[in-house]
Amino acid sequence: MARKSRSTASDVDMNMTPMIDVVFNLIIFFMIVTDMTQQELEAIVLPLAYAAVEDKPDPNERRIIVNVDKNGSIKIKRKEYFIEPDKLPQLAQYLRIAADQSPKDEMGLPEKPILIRADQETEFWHVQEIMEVCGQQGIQIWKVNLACSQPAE
Amino acid sequence: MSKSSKEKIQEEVKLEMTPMIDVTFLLLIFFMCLIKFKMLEGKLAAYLPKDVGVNNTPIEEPLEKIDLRITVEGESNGKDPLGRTVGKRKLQNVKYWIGGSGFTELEAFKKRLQYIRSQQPELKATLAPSKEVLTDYVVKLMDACLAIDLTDITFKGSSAIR
Repeated sequence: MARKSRSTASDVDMNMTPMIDVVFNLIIFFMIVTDMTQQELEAIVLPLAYAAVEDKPDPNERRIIVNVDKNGSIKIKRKEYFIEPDKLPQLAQYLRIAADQSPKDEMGLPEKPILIRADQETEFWHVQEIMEVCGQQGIQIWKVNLACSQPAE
Repeated sequence: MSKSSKEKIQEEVKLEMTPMIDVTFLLLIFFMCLIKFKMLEGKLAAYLPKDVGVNNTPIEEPLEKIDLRITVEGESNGKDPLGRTVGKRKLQNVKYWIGGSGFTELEAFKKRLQYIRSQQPELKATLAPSKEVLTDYVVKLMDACLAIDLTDITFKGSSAIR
């Protein structure tokens, strides 16, 4: 009995399974985390559009995304810009910096479009307000993309 | 001696289920995450008037321009155009306008717009939805425009809408 246990101990090799498990876990964890940081997308119900162009953002491209929920609260990068009466000035300040950093076209206007993600139940004047801010002096982002979900095939 | 002990060990071998369950769970979690993030998302392109703000940029007035508006005629009874009840979603009875003529049905609106577009291939659309209309209807209107290949869509400056 004692002999047998000694001989089994001699051909024990390292069990790789838990290590591989842990490595896979780490890989998946980091995949999810990086995805989250790139997305900046709030969970809102987008309106449905058949003609929508599939949104394939370049991961290196820093684009401006504004989320508007159905009450009109504005969220950018998880930060809420909804405290009245400073909501729009704060947004303007943010967009001004973003527009400054954005590459310009031949007319000196920001080249990159802004992506407005509005809930389908958002009253349009909330979006209109954001568009107004976009048109302000020093911002002048004139290309707008409205986010929408594509109907399932 | 060593041979006999090896035989003994082989007899005791059982299928180890733990790693398989581990891997299965991992795959499950992985695909769960993937599905959540792979939600199809699209975008509709539109433009704002360039001549707002102080730094006015002179723009060429397009020759063939059409005004599209949406007005709210009242709250809806909670059924979508196909007659299905749509949960707790807020709905409105809206009217789509091409210039001075209004349409309650999006399809009729689309047909009329398609006709106008077939007459004027260089047509550009200016959108002026009223303030309280839901974004859903604005997107529907844009969708209708894009469906008939009317891609040059500009939003009217808000001062013009009020």
